[in-house]
Amino acid sequence: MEGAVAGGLIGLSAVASALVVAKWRGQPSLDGWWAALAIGGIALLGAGAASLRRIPWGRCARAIDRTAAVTTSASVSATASGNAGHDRTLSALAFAGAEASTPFACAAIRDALLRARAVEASSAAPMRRPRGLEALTLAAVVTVALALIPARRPRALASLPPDDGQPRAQAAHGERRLRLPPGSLEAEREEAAMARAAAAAQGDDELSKLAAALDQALRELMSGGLPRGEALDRLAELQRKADEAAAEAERARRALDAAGQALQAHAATRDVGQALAAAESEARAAAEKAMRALGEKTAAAGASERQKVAAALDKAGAAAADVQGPTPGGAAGQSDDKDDDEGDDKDGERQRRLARDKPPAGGGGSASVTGRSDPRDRRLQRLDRELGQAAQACREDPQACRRALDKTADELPKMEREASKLESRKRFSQAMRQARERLRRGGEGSADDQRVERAFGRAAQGKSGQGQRGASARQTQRAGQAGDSEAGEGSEAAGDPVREGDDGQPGGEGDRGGDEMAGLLAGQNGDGDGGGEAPAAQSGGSRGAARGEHGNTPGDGIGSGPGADDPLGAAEATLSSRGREREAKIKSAAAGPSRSQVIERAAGRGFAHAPYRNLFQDYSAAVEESLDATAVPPGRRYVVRRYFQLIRPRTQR
Amino acid sequence: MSAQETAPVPIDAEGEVAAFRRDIEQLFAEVGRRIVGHQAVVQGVVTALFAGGHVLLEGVPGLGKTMLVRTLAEALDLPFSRVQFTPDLMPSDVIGTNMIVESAGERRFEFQKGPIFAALVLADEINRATPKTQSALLEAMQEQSVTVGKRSYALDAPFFVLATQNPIEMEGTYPLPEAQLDRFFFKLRVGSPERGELHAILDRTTGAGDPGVRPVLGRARVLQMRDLVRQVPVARPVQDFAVRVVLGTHPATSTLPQVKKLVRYGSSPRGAQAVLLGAKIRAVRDGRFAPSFDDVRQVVPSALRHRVLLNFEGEAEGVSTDEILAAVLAAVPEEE
Repeated sequence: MEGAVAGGLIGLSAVASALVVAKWRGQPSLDGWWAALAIGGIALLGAGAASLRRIPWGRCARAIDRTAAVTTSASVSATASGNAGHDRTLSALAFAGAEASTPFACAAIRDALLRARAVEASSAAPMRRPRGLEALTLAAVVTVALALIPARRPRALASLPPDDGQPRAQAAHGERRLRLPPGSLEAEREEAAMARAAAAAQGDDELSKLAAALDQALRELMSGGLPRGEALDRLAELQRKADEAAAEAERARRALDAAGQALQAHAATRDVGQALAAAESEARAAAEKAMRALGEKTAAAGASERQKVAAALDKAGAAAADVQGPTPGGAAGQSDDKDDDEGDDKDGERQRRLARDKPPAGGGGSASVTGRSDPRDRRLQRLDRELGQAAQACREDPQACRRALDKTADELPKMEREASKLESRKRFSQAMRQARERLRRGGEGSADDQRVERAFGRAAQGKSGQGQRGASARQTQRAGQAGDSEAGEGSEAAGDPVREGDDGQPGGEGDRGGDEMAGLLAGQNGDGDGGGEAPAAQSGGSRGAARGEHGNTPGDGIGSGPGADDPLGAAEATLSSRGREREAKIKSAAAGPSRSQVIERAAGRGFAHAPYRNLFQDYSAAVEESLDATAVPPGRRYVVRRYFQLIRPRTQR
Repeated sequence: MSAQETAPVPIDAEGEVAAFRRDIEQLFAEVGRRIVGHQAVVQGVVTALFAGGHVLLEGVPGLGKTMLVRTLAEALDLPFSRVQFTPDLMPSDVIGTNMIVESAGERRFEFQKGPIFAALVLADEINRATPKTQSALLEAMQEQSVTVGKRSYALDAPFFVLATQNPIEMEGTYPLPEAQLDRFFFKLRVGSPERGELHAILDRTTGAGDPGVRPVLGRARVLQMRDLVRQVPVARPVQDFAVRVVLGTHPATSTLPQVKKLVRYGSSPRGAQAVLLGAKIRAVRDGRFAPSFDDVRQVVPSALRHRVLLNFEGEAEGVSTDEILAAVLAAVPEEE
């Protein structure tokens, strides 16, 4: 029966596990008949296995002896006492299995047989409730409960739009609307306002539109009129546009840098190139003038000089056209394009020339040749074209060359304006990303925390601005509490390094505190029963306690500080006792291991080394004197002496 | 004796066991005429006597220890002597000495036997004598002989020593070393009598007459019974249980945290011998032909309490070896 119960238990467990897996995956429930068959089958297997198991003879004998002890029969031999049982059957079986038998063994067997006759099998092995029945019942209840629990709807299925084809935002009319704490999106709105201000200053209409859209979305969110899913969608779209705008500005920046690098390679165009590739915006503004000066200079120069200028302009145009800015499409595409360009550079340049020699009306052809269909890249194409036409003009006619270079100079400020939008667009894109992340997490954190986080992010990049100092200081404090020294250094521009250092201290103090606590414990060991009056021990202990109050690491109890060197106290310590005061003079070891180290070694490795023997003599003499002088009860004296007898030095092997 | 060993001479086991049981019940009855209560102590003493061992009795004075031994000697019809151990007691005071004897005009040394030359010896307050005197007695206990000068004198069998010690007065005593304690078969604790027992003691001892004790067994019968005990077989599972209990008292082999923490040394093999012999006698006394697990359990405290040595931590915590043994018995299963 117990085997069947065990098998049933295993079967139920297996079915319950299968049910849990099925419910979790959202699959329909298991077939009830199959589950019942599986449980029954495994229970039968368990019963079969249990019936095949051999019961030890000792167990049978014990069962008979137990029964015989209860049902003592009057017909039992007169030699038997009233205290029946007594493992007679067990002993008899052991004696029967032995090769040789003795008269006593035979007598024991006969006695056991006589008693076993009086025992009924039904009483020796009665039917009883099998063990594990409660567990089986519980498992059955759990399995049934699992079967009744509805399957979980997988997240992927739950997020799909409904089958009636309604847009998601409308279908989710009852969708959970975000309950954002007041002011929780204040940081994002602040970013939007800053972006609008930057867009107005730079004449960046696109950024201005994006900032306005973000501000509108945030207003709706705060008023509760925008469901979470729709808000995420709108923010995603805004972020995509912000990324594209930032990528466009970055491409312009890179194109100007590339053209400048190419022009620097030639002496005639070096001034223009240096101006274009300059890091400062003021220096870059001088590129237009340098280009116009180059036109006048070239117009007055000879044909060979014009050829050189033309070649330089060709290379600059090619370099600007080859610029691959970060596109929202991903890095793989960029990598492929770059590989193609590098692998077939000459072909690409030839095709570009062919393309720009065609009339501008077929501008789409240029885009198709370079593989860019984005209208935002037209400005780069125009720069390429202008540079190419200027090069052509310089090869043919000096005046045409000057006019063409003037025309190119007109194009440069536009490109520079586009490139200067890079920083503000990038920042806006980053702000959008953070807003989406916060919204995805459900608007966690208070407005203050967000502001602090944002300020910390700026401070960590060395971009602290006005009105951010307080937030940075708070963030610095948090970094210090975490004991992160690198974060603290990163926020040095806006934070308070002294404050940071103060807050970062407790982490380090813990270790030192642990060491000092070891010193304290050693000092207490040194006190012994004298009550801590040994000066050396006291000083070590107090120092450890004072400096280790912030420490969390416990000491090892041994210590090696001043308090641990002399466990009985200083060289001439005064031991106080209940009786009268007296002096115990202990020799102090000037060299070699300290007393605590000797005792520690003896405790760990045994009491059979010479330093311990010397130390023990000091102790035992002091103890005997103290026992004679103080009012230790006789019973306790025995314990003290016994203790010292137990820790006496042993003979070294 | 284990089940594998064979008995050289066929005997009527049932008859022998019945006779043993009858004789020992007679002995208990006779002792009970004078000794009130202390059944466990009397049974322990008799068990040690038939096992060929000696007993250390621990108890305060005035509980009837001397009376018990004297009564036992009378019931067994064996010579009895009592030695009060004191710090100035010399070994020769116990075992005897060579004295100059003058007879027929010539002088010669003649050995004068000490009180140890008796079948039952009561060594009262053995821990008051010096280790030298203690050793003289304990050597006699172990070797069943004494040596004076260059000559050894065998002690007649049965030779049974009952030593007593007072557990409360430790000042001026010489506690028996662990090696000497191991030579005692049992260590029995003599407790104070209960109310009814005290009434009976007063009735018997403050009256006019003394309840006489008849001799029920002689020297020969005692030796015969000793031999019989040795022939009782022990089932291997029971013997294995006894072995595991003894090993369970060793801190190195025990799994019990109390033993590992509080015990310095566990029982010696002599402890296992005492457990098994005691269990055999208990079985035969009960009319059975082999000891049971319960017999082993009952005998373990008396046989091992003086063989388990506590470390300082155990002594300082006031743990008794009986508590350790109870924990060991509870932890060791009968069937492995």
